[in-house]
Amino acid sequence: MEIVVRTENELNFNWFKKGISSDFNFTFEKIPNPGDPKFLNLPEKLKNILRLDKPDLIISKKNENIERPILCIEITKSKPASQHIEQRIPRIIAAAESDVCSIYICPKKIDGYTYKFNPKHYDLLNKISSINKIPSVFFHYSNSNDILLDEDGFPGLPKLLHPNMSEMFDLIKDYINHDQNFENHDYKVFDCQSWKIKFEKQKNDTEGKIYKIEDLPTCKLINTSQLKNYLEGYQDLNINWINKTVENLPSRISSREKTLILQPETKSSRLFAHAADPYVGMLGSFDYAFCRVGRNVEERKINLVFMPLNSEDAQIKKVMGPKGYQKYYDVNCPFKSSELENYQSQFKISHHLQYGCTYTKNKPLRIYGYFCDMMIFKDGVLIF
Amino acid sequence: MDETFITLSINKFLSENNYEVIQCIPPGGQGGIYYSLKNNIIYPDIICLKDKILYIGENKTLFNESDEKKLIELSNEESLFEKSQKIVDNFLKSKNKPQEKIEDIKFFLGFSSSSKKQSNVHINILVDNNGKVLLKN
Repeated sequence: MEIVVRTENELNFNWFKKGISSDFNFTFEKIPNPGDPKFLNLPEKLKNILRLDKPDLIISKKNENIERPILCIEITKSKPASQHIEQRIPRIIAAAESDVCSIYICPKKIDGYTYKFNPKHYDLLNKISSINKIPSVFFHYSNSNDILLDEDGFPGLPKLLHPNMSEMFDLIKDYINHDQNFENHDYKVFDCQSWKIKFEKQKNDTEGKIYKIEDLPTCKLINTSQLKNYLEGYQDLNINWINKTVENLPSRISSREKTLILQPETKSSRLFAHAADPYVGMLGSFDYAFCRVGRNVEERKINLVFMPLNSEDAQIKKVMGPKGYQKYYDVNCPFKSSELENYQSQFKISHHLQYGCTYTKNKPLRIYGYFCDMMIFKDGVLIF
Repeated sequence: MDETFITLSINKFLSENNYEVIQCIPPGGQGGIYYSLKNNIIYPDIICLKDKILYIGENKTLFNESDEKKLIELSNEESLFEKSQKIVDNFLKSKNKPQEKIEDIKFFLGFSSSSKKQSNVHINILVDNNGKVLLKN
């Protein structure tokens, strides 16, 4: 059996191979960029995993030349403040929505910092898992008395000889072996006993902690019936424009009783800067924490709206402008030339004919468009 | 030659030459150690320690002026030594090694040896197509 490990660099691959220490036949592959000929060679499921962001490791099984992703791994040593955990959640969501399990490795606490991992994040992963019927679980970075331990020769990757990592790799091995049954149509990852136990444990680890809107100063919950008044009070647009906008909202938006508005007020522009972290991750997290009831973004009980309050970001022209999709058009759009520039152009054009800019627009635009029902600006709205 | 190749070649060189690599972040890699710089946060690509000297470096495929400027700004940060000592303390503790006081902090830029420009301020670490590394002060 061949196990393909896709990751950005060989260090991650060698760490994984060392950690799993089994006689599987491992192959290292880089995660290709969208538009690249190699991207077109990826299985659709793997492309789907990459549609919002890029996980650190994607593990696939290859049988008879068919590659099938089975697991994504996300690793961070960042202090476990909520926004740092949430920042990477879209990667977990994209995997879960593609029927692929995830493991998210992060610190529980770091010596010298007051931040502690909040058990509400376990609950978030439990919701993502339950809605998608595929487990996503946390493991905590190897540590000793809250000092994070790296594997020797692998800075930024957790020490392997540690109970957390031993348990994690046992789980992965178990899954790889158990997954031989995948051709059985009734097969569920939750049938794998060790994953079931781990997931049940994660449910208990929440200690009753869940996300609460009232704990989130950047969030506001309004009645959707008040949306028109809300827009009138905020936007620099005439009443006719606002009336027509509200009248033409999709019924799925106007029919939901409540609307959750994430409205960060950042000191400097953040709509695209620093890949819009952590706000794009917060959107994905809040979607599953408060809004989502089904696998599809249309299956929400509460609308999810993003409203950037920074004066520069509050104008829709920022989205259209040089740092937004105008840049995409100027730099990336392949449909401007009337002839092929080089051999790569063929692949790039094919890619865009098949997928549009789903994978090639910048990360913030990919995530806003996916998770938001609406974005509110002073001079307009975007409806998705 | 891409930035990943540069970073991993330098990481290998440092490990083979008895530097203790505390952080190494190739593109797409993970790092938890950061410095605050004028309300911004920077995660250096490489932090390593040798003979009580801490080295902080940024890598790109070619010499990059904004990285050079960023490291100059970092070198002028008031809390640099204090923060760096804490990083070293945590690292040595994690490796069960005796604590030691850092005596100096040096900065480097890692990039391809084919780059026409180099830094006159920081150490240059040049990487050739075969991954061979050359240190130029």
